[in-house]
Amino acid sequence: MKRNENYDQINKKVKKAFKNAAPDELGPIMTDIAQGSKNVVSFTPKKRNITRRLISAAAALIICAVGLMGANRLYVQNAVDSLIAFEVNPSLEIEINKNERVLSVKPLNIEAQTVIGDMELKGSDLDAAVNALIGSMLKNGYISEIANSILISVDNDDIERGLKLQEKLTGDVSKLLDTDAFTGAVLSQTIKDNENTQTLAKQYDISLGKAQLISQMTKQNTALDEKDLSQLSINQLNLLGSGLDGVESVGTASDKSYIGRDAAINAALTHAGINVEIRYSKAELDLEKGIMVYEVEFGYNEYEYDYDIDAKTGEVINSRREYDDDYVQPVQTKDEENYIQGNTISDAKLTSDEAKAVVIDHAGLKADQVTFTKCKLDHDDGRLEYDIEFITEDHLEYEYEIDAVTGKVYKYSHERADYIIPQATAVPNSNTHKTTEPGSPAPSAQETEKPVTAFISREEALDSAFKKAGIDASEAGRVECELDRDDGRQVYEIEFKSGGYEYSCDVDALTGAVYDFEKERDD
Amino acid sequence: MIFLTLTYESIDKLESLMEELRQGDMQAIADIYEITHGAVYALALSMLKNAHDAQDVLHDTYVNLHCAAASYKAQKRPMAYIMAIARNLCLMKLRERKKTAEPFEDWLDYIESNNSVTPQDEAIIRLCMEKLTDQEREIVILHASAGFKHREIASMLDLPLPTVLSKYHRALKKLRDMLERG
Repeated sequence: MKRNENYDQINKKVKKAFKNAAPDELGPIMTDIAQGSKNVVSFTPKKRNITRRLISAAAALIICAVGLMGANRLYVQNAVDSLIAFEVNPSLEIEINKNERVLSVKPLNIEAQTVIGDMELKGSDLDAAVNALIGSMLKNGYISEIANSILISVDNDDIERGLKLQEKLTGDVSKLLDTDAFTGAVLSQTIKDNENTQTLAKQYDISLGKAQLISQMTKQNTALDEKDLSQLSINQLNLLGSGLDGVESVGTASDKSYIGRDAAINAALTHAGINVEIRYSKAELDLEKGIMVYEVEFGYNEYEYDYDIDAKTGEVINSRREYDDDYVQPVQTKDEENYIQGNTISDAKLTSDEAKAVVIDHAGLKADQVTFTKCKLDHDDGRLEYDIEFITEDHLEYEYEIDAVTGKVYKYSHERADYIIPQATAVPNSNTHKTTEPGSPAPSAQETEKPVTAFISREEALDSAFKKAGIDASEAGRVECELDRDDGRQVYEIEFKSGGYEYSCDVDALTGAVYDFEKERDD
Repeated sequence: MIFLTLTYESIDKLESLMEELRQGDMQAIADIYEITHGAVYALALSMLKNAHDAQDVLHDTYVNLHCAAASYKAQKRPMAYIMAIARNLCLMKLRERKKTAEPFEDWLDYIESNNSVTPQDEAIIRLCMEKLTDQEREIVILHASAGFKHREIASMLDLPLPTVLSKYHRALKKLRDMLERG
């Protein structure tokens, strides 16, 4: 908590310092705006509507003046036939008429403005416009060796014509993306009018094309989350999905911004401390809570290892080791036989402190770096084991199952605590204050059937509060301590009086950190 | 850390100012400037390291915002929108520079000659500019000045959340250690 307070102060100082350094630019800005500044890029959607309205107005006038025959041709010239969307990260839409002349090019985001720049594409051939736009995307580095994917969505009422256009564009664009340095990957589809897709697009503020692609992906792999996918780039989507319904795919998406399968497997092996041959291994790109990861699996001895490795950094995000049920143990060791027969030797079991020492050592940490949140003795499959959980200073949450007799580690995993969504079910009945106290004698197996809480005890919470107040427990009177939930956090609400002052504070039920400490004169 | 991030109230305020701006109210741009210019300038100066360029970006951000207001859709994320405009302008400046001469990093002269900057401000700006990497500095500014959550910063910079968190903590630790050392 101390550390965070300091960080907050530093943040405040940074904010103030840079704000003071800012010149007063408001005057010139207002002048510029008042004069209707040129030379500034601006969005154009409003304008487009006006032009279209003007066009149809003009067309109507001409129809009256010239008569139907001639005018009809002119109208065809200006009528929107197809809408083509290019999406990389810059997203833009091209409207063309029946003769494949460009009626408008509309940027859908700021990046697309950069791509279009001051090019005047209206009236040009579709081929020429595509050439110019793809060229500009390459030049500006939006399509590169690292992210080589583009999504083309064609919207045309005439399905057959739409498909033809889609096919032609796919060919043209992949040819343009076949550069000396790399080859592009083109995804293309024809937009189908679909209510679901429209809702999806609106919900996550993405284009219809991207929404359609995402809904195909979630249809194929239900483990994927629409919201997570909506945040990804087209290249990332292309890496995750293949063989999608209604999506034509040419070329391979680049995974060059990631560490690669081999490196991911190596990272997992290093973490597991294994440098000998393993039984099998595989690695696949996947999305884990919105982060691109390599899902690594391998077998070693009697265990099966599962890892999620951050695809960019190689950092271990999740790790799990379990007994592999399929594994046939070659020879049972003497120790193990003894152990199985010795199921009754519960009095020879480790104390909870010894068990804690085992897991800390296994995790390569020291006792002062961790906070235990759970330590209980349990019967699992006839084995007597300790379930132990702890959190490190850098917010990693570890879970262990170890043999209560031999200290052998059966299962362990760790996960970054930032990812964990507070589980409402983990909240104990607030009027009982029943907690499993670390360091206390291990409860009996029967007792541990109750819902497990990972909270510190009331006494520990009070200790934190007294320490913060700088008083001894014996000096405090009228002590109240209640476990409660405060905006999603589990806290002990504590109040007490001492030396003519009234104190109140919240103590984090997981970490013992003191929040909202208040000291008032008691009157 | 509530006081750091933009409170819901000020987001609503910004949101309604954007709406007023869309309706063509000129005063709205001045009010938006008042709330957000610190963050915009911090980002610009820290990315560009040149006082003149940073001032340009500060200027163009609000002029562009005015022009683009019509196409701004209410997303409850006005700050992200404004910062995206500023960041994009900075990136364009950096790209221009590659074609021309080496950038002239004159931020220190500017800070030293700026009367609104207290000695304490100067010290912390120097630490940010000299001791942090470009990316660390950007993350710190986006959090401290613009009030973004780490998760938002991660998606903005296209970095994994753990990377942003660890870079942020490393940067803040550096700053804290330096400040304590005096």
